[in-house]
Amino acid sequence: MDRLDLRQIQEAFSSPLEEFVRETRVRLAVLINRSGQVLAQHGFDKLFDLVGVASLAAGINASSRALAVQLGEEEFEHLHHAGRSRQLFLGHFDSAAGQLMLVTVFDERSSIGLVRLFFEEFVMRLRGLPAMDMARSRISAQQFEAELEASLDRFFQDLIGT
Amino acid sequence: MSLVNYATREITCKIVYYGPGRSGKTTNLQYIHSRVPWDRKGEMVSLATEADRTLFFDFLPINLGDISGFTTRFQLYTVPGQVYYNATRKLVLQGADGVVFVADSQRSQMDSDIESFRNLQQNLLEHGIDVRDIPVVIQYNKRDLPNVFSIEQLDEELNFRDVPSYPASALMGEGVFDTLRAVSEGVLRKLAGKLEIPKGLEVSRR
Repeated sequence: MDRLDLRQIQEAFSSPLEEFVRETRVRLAVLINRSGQVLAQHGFDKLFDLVGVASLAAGINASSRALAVQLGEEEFEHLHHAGRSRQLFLGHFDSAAGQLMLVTVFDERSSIGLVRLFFEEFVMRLRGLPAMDMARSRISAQQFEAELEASLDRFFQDLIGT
Repeated sequence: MSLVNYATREITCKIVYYGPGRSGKTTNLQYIHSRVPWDRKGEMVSLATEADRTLFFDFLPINLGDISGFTTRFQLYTVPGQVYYNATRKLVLQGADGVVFVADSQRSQMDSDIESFRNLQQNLLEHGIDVRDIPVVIQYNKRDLPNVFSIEQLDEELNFRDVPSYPASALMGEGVFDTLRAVSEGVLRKLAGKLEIPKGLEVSRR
């Protein structure tokens, strides 16, 4: 699969994600793919470098899966890390859009039990969604290519040759 | 895996800097991070050992700006170069849209360069990707050091597919952005080809 149309994903996932955040009272819930790219998010995220959190979470998940395979397991269960005030839960699941991960950050207003409970519900709701088609082109490739060089020139003009 | 978000009009691509240990992959990212304006970059994350060798990956998100009305973001990763860390190298390579192979130009490092390039092909294959199907740019780094091979010699040993290649001294920044520009262009042209396949348009090479 080379790419996904995120609009379809976001539309399909936004309601279950909102409900998950409301029910669990987590501070942040981010839906990412295995490469660590953010597909959807909900919750208060001003305190976090969202893209950094997503890339690190994908790294943890990837190494955890590789370790599981080396130990003769297909995969490990979800991951939970607890700090003094904040906790992190990484739950992975298969979907029509491939394997995805829900990354949640929570504090004393929630609990790992609550998060796990509603994560299962979240996954069940997503599995009930109809399969999403691959992306449909809504962009002119010719126009994109035509603008590509000028756009790259704009970005790199002050950087190349310095 | 390039992601195209039609709702927020965003494109996100993943570039992986690959190469043998101490060839300058992290230095490339550090230089990019130091030069790109603050509003065009995110935090750089480095997972390194105490001796500053990359343990898992370095990560730097940058924003290339607007192309055809789409905000274009690139996520730059490095892999750990040491032979020992192949399992983590393979993980970081997962989902890559383009690869920069950072070779060490020093004569003493040729064997490591060749071994690492073979390792790249092998690891891509294990992800189901033929190295011919993904944009690759080679950077011949450390041109400022003595006892380096000529570009022609390096091309002969490493660049048998005639991909774009650039001499560089990443520590001083020379060649760093030429390399990044080339791989960005390769990745985005490939993406454009998937958006809507226009006949007669081919990826141009240097």
